[in-house]
Amino acid sequence: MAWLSVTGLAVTGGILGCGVVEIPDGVVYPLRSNPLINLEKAPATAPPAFPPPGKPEVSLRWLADQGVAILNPADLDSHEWGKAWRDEVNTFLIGQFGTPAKPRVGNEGSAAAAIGKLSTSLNLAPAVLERGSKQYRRLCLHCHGLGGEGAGATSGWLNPLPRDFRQGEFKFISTAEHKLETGNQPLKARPRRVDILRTLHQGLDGTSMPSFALLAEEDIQALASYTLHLSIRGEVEYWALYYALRQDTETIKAIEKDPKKEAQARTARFLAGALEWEDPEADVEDFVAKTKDKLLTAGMEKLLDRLLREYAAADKNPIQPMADPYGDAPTTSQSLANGLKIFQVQCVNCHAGYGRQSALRFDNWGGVVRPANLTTPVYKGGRRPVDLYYRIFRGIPPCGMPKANLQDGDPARQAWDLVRFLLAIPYPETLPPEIRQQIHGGAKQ
Amino acid sequence: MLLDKGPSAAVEATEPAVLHFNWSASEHWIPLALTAVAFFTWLLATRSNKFWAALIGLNAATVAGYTAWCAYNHLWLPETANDLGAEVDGLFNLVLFLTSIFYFITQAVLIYTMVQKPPANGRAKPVHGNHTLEIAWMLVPAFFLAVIAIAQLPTWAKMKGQTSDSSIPVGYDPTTDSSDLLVTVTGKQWEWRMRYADPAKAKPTNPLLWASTPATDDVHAVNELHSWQGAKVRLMLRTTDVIHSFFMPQFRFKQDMLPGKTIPALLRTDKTNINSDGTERCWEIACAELCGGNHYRMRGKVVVHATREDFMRWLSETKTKQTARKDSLAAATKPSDTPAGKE
Repeated sequence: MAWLSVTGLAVTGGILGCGVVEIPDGVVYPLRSNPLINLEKAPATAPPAFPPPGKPEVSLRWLADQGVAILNPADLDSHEWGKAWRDEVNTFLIGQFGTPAKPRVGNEGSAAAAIGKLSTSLNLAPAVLERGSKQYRRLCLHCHGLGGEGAGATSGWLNPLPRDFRQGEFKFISTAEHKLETGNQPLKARPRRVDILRTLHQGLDGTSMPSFALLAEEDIQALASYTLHLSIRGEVEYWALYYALRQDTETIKAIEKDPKKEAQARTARFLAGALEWEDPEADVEDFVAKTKDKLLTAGMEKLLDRLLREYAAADKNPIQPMADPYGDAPTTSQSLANGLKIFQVQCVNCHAGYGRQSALRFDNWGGVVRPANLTTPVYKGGRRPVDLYYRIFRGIPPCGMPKANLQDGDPARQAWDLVRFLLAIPYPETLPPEIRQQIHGGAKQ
Repeated sequence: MLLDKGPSAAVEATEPAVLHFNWSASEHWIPLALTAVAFFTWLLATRSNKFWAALIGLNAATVAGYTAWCAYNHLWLPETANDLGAEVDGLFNLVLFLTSIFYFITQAVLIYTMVQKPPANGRAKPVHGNHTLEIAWMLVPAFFLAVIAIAQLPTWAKMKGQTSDSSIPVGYDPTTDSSDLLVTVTGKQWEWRMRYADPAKAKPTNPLLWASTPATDDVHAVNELHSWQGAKVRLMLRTTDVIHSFFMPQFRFKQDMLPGKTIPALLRTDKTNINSDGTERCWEIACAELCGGNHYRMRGKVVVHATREDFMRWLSETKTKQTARKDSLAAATKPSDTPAGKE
């Protein structure tokens, strides 16, 4: 009888949700199924509006209407080579990145795994990633999705949309433009680890991304590592599918030569892409000859290696802000007037009406964004003066915000005049009358 | 703080300290186990009235013992953080006391009717139409309800009074604001954004206006409400999206945030939650109004520093971080990250 009652209570406890439910080992990251945007042709016209709530995919239709190529991974199903390609990518990704229950970067003993483990800025050891994955599934999954696709259950109703990590792009970064040790540019603008940590700590003001500052510091660190894991996994997948689908003239020419060898032609394009970026001298033919089988896999391995080194390099190339010539002194009217002058040359094209009349634009994910309204003190990338400095001097690459181009005179003075001006815009009472009149009109005091 | 701690450092699991019901503590299983045993005994037992009466008596005794035990060990309610909270607890205990009396009376009557000898003719005596009884069971509850209604009046007045010194004043006059610290709390899906007016500076002439028009030297924080022992904190409650409810269990404080409104609340932080050894007792902030998918993680904490100086230190640290013209974190991640064998 006693056993019966104990069992009864245990069952009740289980139903009520006591105990931790783990994700089964068999669950794998879904292979990308949503469209890729071919960024080679920039959209000619601005989007008409934000996509309606719950229908973020509408913006892709607007892009397609403008002739921007939308690459649909489902198209691979219509070719035998396409199915084989997709399977090879999937096998590679599962092999190198594991599953949500057991995430990792790089095969056991591989060079990639060694980089990920040893680099403290990446911190991609399996134990860390496992902890990150657990917290991710608890706190992030329902907006950012299991594989970091930014399409979780609630995502469609949020504006801005949750970030799709699988493109390896981040908006709010403090990485200086730099070259890799091979002399190449990184494929994309990479974040430093502190940029991801800042976002986790502070959240993104003005968006649905909340602050996680009250989590244990180890959990925040693990989440940052896991974000990198998802980004790197997603980007390998991204480029592998991108070259399988894109229709540029060279690819079409190569395929026309021998339509039966489409897979080979596309693999060569993928290798050319990956290796060319890494080392212009490298001979694709030579690489092809050396690697007798599984060319695509060999290429993806190279790409993974490269991505890891890019993220590690980003961390060592922070923007070093020029010292504020005014120090801690309060902002002067002269400084504000200078800032306004720079603003009207550098910023006003996009931040029309100080951001109140900003025109919408497409970002690199095919979504719709609006240049910030600078008359309200809401700063997504952080409100510290240095955060604004980073935005000004790095821009927001995935959204097409260019970095400011200050040429004449004293660059440090100009930079901090602009930062001080931006920080003052939302507070009319702190502005000199003529600037206040210009920005806020006569009504607001 | 933001330093990489290396792969092995991050493995050890440390859950954030939160207020929660400790299911693993054995004392909570005792009444459940007793109830379960009683249930199975009932399945086996013959259905005699005496057995039923004993069962009901046992149940009443268990409930009474458990209640008293929990109340004695402070297991029911979290720590109270100010005097008003203690008053609210007093009202809770009053209501509990009154209802307990009637619980035991009804249980006693129930047991009595079961164990007494049945009348000779086997029929119960109906009480329908007994005016004395009817008047009694109207007057007695009316009396006790009146007692509760009157007993809560002073507390209610402190909560929703006409003066600006009420906890959630009905008639708030910004010109007579006597608070020591001004904080705008903006609920948004899914966090609390706090904005502090620097108490070292002159107080905004109209706090209500300040709540909607930030000043340049405001200090911003997320999910953390800081104050000091003995302070009167004016909370300006706002929301940017849907209805949230700002709930601080230790203060017995709960107030909805309504879109388009600024609700001025006054919080007295009479007690510090920093222990003498420097550790902090977790005083939670939670959203008490289902506000969307991530409602459950809309959580913050209250820190009541022991002295105003401690608070000012925290404020100036936060302000320094906020006005950084250099990345203070830059140095933290720079060294020692050479990928294996690459450089």
